[in-house]
Amino acid sequence: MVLRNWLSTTTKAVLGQSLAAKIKNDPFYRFQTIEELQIAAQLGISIDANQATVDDWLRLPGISIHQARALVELTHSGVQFHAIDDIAAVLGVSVDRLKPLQLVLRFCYYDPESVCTVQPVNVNTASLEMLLKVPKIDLHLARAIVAHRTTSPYRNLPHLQKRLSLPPTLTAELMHYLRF
Amino acid sequence: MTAQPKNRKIAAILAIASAAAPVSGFHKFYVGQPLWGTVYVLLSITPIPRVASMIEAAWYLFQDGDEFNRRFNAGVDSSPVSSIDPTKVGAIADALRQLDQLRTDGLISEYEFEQKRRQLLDQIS
Repeated sequence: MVLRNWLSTTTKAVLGQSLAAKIKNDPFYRFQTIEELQIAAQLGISIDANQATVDDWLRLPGISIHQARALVELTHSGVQFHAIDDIAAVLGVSVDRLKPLQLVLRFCYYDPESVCTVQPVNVNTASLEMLLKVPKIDLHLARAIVAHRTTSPYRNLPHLQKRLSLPPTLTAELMHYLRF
Repeated sequence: MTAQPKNRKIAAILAIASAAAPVSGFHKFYVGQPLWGTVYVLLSITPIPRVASMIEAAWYLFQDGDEFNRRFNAGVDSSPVSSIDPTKVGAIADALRQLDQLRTDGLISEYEFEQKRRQLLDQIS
């Protein structure tokens, strides 16, 4: 009996260790339970709510692809999340339901006025004035971007470069400011 | 697990070694059963794992290679690459296109798309 108890605790410990190793080594590991979230929190894994991608959000248990996309769209448009209450409000669920996610979620503040923060603009939706705020985009280029996107949206940066025949040096300077 | 197919002879030699050595269970780790391996190591103070190792060594040696592969090399294809079936490639190509459509529709994420794409491509060879 004692031996069996000891064996079960050791196997549990071994399994827990392998789970921790899996969580640590797979940056896309998707947490299934709150227990796994606790292990992740102990390992120091955190997800920054204001910079998370769709795949980062999908790592959290109970977050669907549509919810993840909605959250990412909001952060891309410049909305800042300050607490778990904001996430709950966006998703339309109660705060209590999302409480366990606080174990790994971080709400870092990014000052929009700071010179270090670059808020990229979406070339497919941004107005002419917003495009003009981007360094290196002059009136001529902004008008060309707007004119070309009426036929079909830009898929990605190479697509934009090809359609507008931008020189590589200009593309390299623009890539930090544009989003698709 | 490991991409290398497990060798029946090495498994048998490890089983014999584990029957003779003071600590047993190496062959269990080798064939990809770490839990059993741990149990064997833990029980090393008793003669049980040594007897079990002896039996398993005989079993590894006398069963034929196909049965061993079926048991321990599931998913690892050790047979030479067979000719590629064009209909299968066509079906996988269609599946890939549909998968990409799902990605552009936003129903699957980039990571999920890439994982499934690799799984589909692995089916070709």
